Amino acid sequence: MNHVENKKIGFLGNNPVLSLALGLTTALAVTGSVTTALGMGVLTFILVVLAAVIGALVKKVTPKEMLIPVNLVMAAFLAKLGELFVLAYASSLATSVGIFLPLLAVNSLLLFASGALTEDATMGDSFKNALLSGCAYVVALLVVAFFRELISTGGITLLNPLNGGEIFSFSLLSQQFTLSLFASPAGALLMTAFVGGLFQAFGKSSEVKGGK
Amino acid sequence: MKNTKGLLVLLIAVLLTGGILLFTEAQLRPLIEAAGSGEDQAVLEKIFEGASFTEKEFIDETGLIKKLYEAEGAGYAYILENQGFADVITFALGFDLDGNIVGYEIINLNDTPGYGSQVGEEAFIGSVVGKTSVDGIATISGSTVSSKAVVDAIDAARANYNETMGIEDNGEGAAPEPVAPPLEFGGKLPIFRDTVSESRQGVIIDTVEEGGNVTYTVEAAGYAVIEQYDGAKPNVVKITIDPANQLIIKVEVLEVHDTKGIGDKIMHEDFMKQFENLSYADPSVEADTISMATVSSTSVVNAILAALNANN
Repeated sequence: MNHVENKKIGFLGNNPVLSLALGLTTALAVTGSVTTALGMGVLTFILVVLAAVIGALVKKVTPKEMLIPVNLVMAAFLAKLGELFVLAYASSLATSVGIFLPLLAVNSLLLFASGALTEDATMGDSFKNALLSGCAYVVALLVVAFFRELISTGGITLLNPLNGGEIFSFSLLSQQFTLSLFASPAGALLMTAFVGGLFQAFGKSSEVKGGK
Repeated sequence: MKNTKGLLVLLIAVLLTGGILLFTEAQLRPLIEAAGSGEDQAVLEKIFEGASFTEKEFIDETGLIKKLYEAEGAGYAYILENQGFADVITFALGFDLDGNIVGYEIINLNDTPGYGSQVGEEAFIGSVVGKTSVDGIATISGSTVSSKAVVDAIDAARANYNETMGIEDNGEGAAPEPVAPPLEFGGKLPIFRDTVSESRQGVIIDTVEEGGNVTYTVEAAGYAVIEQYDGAKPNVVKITIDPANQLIIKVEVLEVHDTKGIGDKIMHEDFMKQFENLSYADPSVEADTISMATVSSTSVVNAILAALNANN
């Protein structure tokens, strides 16, 4: 298995969503508002970290050739578990993301798989990797969602994902300057590409400065 | 040996995770259901105000009943779902304890505005609420797919309710024939116009004179001909006029070849009635066209114009 790629996941350059396009479908779907992006981002983060821990434990007892099937079982398990908890405790979030709830949960395993499936990664390595890619995922979702919601509705309304109550909201653009395009999937792709480009550009420059 | 160990690990993984999931689901099920019923709560409140609801088990072979709630001391509410014309129609239906339908609330309806959407309008709601569990509900003519979907679901709920309450449905209240909705008129159209293009002018195919009255049978291009549908035929209209008194005695639409359910509204008696004993002495005399069937209505007016011109 080629694990050169594993080292490369990062916040700006090689962001899992924005430049590696992992889990892009659901990322597009849940970035319609900051609320869903935050809720699903946090869920993904928790699942990725859990997956890394379980993956590392599983690796200790599983023969090499059974690693992928066993990890798939774990992936399905975590995805379902995450779905159940969201359905029970954050029903307003579950209603607003609909079918993408189980899909996103599965997606998070894509992130984790980039670290945990390799044979020689230590538990610390895959844990670190999971934290990094989980964080990068949340940040990417939030940034895309922030700009999409701002441009398509003129402001940001953050709701509590657990009960749907409003936490805070502000309005910046007047209604005549909003573009409903960015609420649609086409706008989602455009915005993701745009933010991805920005991230990549900043990522590159920081790499150069850092002398990596 | 290695293989056996791998399989064993896989087996243990499947059993363990499956077990945990089953356990978790069992623990969380009440919470998930409570969260789910929260969605219906608003709609249920509209039917039984202030009641407390508990979800009930039910047996339903039709598959149209999604949920059943008991409103404590007030009645039962069903959440029903059936495929409409464009999308699934979801609605709630409430029965009180005496078997009367006390509420009908649409939850999801995306069918064609003006047609399928009628199942969410006052007229249809009025035909449902106030009936009892043994009364049939009429479908709406012109919105057959959507209204049949709704009526089938209501029937499923009635059957279930009657069974629960031990009410015998002897079929006496069977659904009446679909009620034709009243005709909706649109804009007015002057009968005398110079602007009728040649292809749309009426063609007289028969003239009969009888006791001072003249009856013309006229073909006029309707929607199907104008849109050049395959095998399109013009509409045929019979016009009887009294030239001495400058009166249109009667207009009858004999054949309509336009869109079913839309263009054929020109056969409606209310539409033909407006021409009865209509004086055409005033050159600015106008006819009412039917809303959403303007082209077909215009074909009738063009036929009348052709008859009047022929008489001059």
